[in-house]
Amino acid sequence: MTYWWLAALVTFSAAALIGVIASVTTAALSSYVTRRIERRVPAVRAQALLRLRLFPVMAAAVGGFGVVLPLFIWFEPRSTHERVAATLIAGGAIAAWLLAGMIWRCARALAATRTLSRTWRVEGARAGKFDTPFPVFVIDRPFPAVAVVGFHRPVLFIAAQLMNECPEDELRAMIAHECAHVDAADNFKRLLLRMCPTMGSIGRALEGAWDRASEEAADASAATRLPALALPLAQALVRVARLTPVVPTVAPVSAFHAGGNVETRVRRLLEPIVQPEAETTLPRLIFCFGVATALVTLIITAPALHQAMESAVAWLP
Amino acid sequence: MFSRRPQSGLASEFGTLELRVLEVLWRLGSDATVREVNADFPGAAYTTVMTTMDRLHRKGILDRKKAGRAFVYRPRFSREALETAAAARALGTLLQGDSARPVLSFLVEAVSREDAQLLDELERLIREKRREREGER
Repeated sequence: MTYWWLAALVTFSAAALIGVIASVTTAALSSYVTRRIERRVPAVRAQALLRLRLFPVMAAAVGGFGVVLPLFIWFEPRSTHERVAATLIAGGAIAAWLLAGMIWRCARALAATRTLSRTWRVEGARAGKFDTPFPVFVIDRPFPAVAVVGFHRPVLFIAAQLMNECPEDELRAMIAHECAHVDAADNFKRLLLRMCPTMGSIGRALEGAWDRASEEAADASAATRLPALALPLAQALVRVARLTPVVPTVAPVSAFHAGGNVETRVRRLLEPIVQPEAETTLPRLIFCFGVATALVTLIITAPALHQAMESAVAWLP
Repeated sequence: MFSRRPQSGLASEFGTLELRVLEVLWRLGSDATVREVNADFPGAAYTTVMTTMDRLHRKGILDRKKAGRAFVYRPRFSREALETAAAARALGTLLQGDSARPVLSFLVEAVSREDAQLLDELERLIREKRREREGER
C-alpha cells in the first residue's frame, strides 16, 4: 500500500473512531445540556444546540485531519511497508462512506434550494416596496409561505394571500423576523445540520430544538431592534398559523407541528423585551487559550502520541 | 403594492379548462351534464369539455352517474376542501424528505387541527396586550 493510501486510511479510521466516541458523548450529554440551557435566551440556546449537534463531526474532523494526519506525515517514513489491519480498512471505509453521505446530502439540499428559489422567482413578482438587503418576491402559492430561501444570495418569498390580508405593520414585522434569520446565517447552519450523519432520535430532537430556538431567536432579534413590531409579529404568527394547512405527517419538523412553538413564540413576544446577553470577550479568550494550549501540548507530546498510534494500529486485528 | 392578479391555489393542481369546469359545477351547485356545462364555454367544442370532465372523473374529483343516455357529473369536494388539500400537499412536499429538502426558514411551518382554540386564546391575549399598551400611552 502506498504512503498516501495508508495516510488516508489511518486518518479516516481515526476520524470514524473519534466520531463514534463523540456521538456517544453527545447522546449522553444532550438531555443534560438541553435542561441547562432551557432558561437561557433563545440565541444562546440555539448556539449551544448547534454546537452540540455538530460536535461529533467537528471532533472527527479535528481529530482525524488536525491531529492524526499531521502526526502521520511528521513521523511515518515514506517507504512504509506496514501491515494494514482489516479493522483499519473497515474503519476507513465507514468514514469515507459517511463523508460521501455528507457531500451527497449537501449537494441534494443545495440543488433543491436552487430549484425552489428559481421556480418561485420565475412564477413570483418582485416586491420593491420593502427596504431589505435581499430581494423580496411575492408568490402565488396555496399555503401562506413567508420564507427566506438559500444563504449565499438569500431571497425572501411571501405568499400573495398574506400580502393581501396582512396589515402593513405585520408585513414589516415578518420581514424583520426573516432579516434576523439572514443576519444569523440560519440557513447555512440548517445546511450544516442537514449534512451531519444521522444520530437517530437524539439527532432529530437536537435539530428540532435548534429549529425552535432559532425561530424564537429571530423573533427576539426583530422585537429588540424594532420594539413596536413585537405585537404585530405575534399577531402575524397567529394569522399565518391559522392559514397554514394541516399537514398530516411532518416528521422532520418535530414538535413544531404540535403548535407549542407558535404558542411559546407568541407568549414570549407579549412579555417585556429582554435585551440580549452582552457579549463578553472572556469566553473567546478562554477558547483561544484552550486552542493554543492544545496545540503546544500536541507538539510536545507528538512523539508519544505517534507511538501510541503505532501500538494501537499494531494491536488491531 | 402588488400588481399580479391573485390566483386560486388550485391553479397548480389543475389545468385551466379543468379549473373552469370545476368553477361551473360549483356555481351550478347541482348535478350537471356535459351539455349544461358546455353552455358556459361558448368557444369550446363539446368533446373538449366532455374529455375534460371525463379526466376529472378519472382523477376522482367528479362523481358521475348515468341519467338516460348521458352522464351527469357532480363535484366530490367543495372548493375549500380542494384548496386545503392542495395547500397541505404543497407544504408537505417542502417539509418532508430529508436531504433533498431545500434550505429555507419558514415563519410558521405547520400546525395541528387542535390548535384552533389555542390560536383564539393567543389572539385574545394579543388584543388585551394592545389595549393595555394603548391605555399606558
